[in-house]
Amino acid sequence: MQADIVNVAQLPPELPPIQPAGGQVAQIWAQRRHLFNGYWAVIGLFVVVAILAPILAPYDPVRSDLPNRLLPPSWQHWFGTDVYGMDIYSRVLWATRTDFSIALIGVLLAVVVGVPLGALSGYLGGLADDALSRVSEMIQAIPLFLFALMVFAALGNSSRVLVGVVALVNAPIFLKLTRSVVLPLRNADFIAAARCAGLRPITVVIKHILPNALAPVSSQFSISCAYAIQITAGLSFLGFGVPIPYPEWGSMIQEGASRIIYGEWWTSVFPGLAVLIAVLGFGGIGRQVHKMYTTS
Amino acid sequence: MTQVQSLAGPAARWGIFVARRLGSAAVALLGVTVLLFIVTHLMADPVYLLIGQRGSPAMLDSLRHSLGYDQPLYVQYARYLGNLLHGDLGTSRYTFQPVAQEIAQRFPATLSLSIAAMILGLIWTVPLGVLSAIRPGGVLDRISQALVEFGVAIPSFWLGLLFVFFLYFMLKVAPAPIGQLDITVDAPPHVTGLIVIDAMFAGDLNVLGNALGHLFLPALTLSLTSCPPILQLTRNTMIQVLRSDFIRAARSLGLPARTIYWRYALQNTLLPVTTMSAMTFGYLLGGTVLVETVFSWPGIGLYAVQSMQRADYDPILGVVLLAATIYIVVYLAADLAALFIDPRVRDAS
Repeated sequence: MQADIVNVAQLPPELPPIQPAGGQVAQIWAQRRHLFNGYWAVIGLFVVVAILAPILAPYDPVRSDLPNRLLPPSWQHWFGTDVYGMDIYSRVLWATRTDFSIALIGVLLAVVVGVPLGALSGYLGGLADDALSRVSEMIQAIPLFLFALMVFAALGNSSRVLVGVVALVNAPIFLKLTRSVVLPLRNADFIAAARCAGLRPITVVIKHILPNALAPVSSQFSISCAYAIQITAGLSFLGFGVPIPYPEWGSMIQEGASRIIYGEWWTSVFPGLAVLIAVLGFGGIGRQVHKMYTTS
Repeated sequence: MTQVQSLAGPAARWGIFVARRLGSAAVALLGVTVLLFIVTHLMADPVYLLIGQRGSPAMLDSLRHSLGYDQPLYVQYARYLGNLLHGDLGTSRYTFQPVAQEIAQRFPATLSLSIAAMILGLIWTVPLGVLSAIRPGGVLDRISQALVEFGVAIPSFWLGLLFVFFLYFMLKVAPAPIGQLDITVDAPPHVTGLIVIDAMFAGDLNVLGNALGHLFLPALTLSLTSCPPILQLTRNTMIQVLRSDFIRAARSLGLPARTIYWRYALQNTLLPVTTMSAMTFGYLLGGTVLVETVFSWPGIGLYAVQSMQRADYDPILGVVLLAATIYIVVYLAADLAALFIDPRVRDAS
């Protein structure tokens, strides 16, 4: 056993790994291939659908065809038609655009607001930290949907406000997350060294502290997207955000809700499935990224 | 801080912790009232809403003055806060009833729904969490992980609609989603406001059965979508506890597995689970909006949505204030309870 203990200082310096022949992309793919699982495929598929919706959709998503209302799924209408005779399959495809763009823009805004504020709060501490923590606690103390109703009451009912709501409820999450990464690093040796080297605080934060938040923030980004799609669908279900007839999953579920007790299930089931699958996909990616950086 | 701790005895340290915790809860509550005050000022000119388009500028001005809307904002805020402290949450512009009174009428429905969801949730999550922790990676664990993943992802309102479709339309075992009782059934005499409890007091089995039938589906929907984090926490905590020394000691003493799992290990798992359950409950009381809408459940969530559709804003602000207060108080209570139950938390604070 004794022989196993090696003096680290005597080890030869590590040689750079020999680059195998072949493109770098192929190499990265070979190393990371196992990371691309069903969750990525699902979200990839949704993105393709969102981009190609005009080509993929067989019907105009907002053209009503009253004689053909409430038709069950068939070869002409794969997912059936709704109370206005609009083709549900086409609407579900088009709604991918709506829901994904609201979710992505909203969460991006939350990152843009939450991450710098969290870094500021964690790095400076003191009064700014206290104030920001109190404000985010306050937002999180109000149940999400009630908070959203209040914002709609104050600012009016529009999809722009919906994006704002998504950003507003996610920003405290990013703030707290970034703060929790920054706080323990504030007194780390390498930060002290950077400061001694005469770097300005802003440079220290951006170049040396924030890169550490990249992994947790990207994991949370995906989870927040899942959350954002639920919020978007839920609020549209209540009639806020995206106005009918514009295709959106939540408002489509709402249109079908009054029909489901008469057995016309297809109006609500298909858009709901889309929400479920999208949320599962984003949630899965988020958990995977989380696992990657917590185990490595 | 360290100096204070070293000088003061444990009782004083507790006192400091409790005082700080109470203080931060009070600050959060005050913050919510400031937020609500700002929102009322963003919405619309309340005087204009009262008079309407026919009012002349002079009329508007005189009413504004007599109602005190021309005073500085901090005076207006102080008056708003004073009204809140007197239980005045404003008046509905639709029914002309005081909002506090309307909320009081509707809150029991939300309360009974939340309690039922919580009971159902604890019944399925805690045992499943314990069983999953006994064999992590086993069949049962995988099933419960899938349940957690789906439960968190599935939109609650959609799940509720699926239940209505399968159990009401297809199988005809569930009642129609039209609130707390069938239209043909009279509500029991008002004692607590919780229909199930009132029916028990009245001893009316017919009404009781009807009420429970109506309560079951929305409560199940909520428990499936809101309680999975409790399962996850039970499982993860339990796995950690099962790895600890005292469990190894218990095993080496030859105690039966059932005693180890369900007595010693579970006991040590319950504290975080209790805290989490309290938080879930606090969240449920304000988070039933979507499910109430699906089942036409006459609680505060549906009240807020309906008021919003009528552009009647005071009720929404009242419901928001109530829900935020409940959440803050429950959070505070859970923290303090943990402090008194668990010596480890006590020493750490």
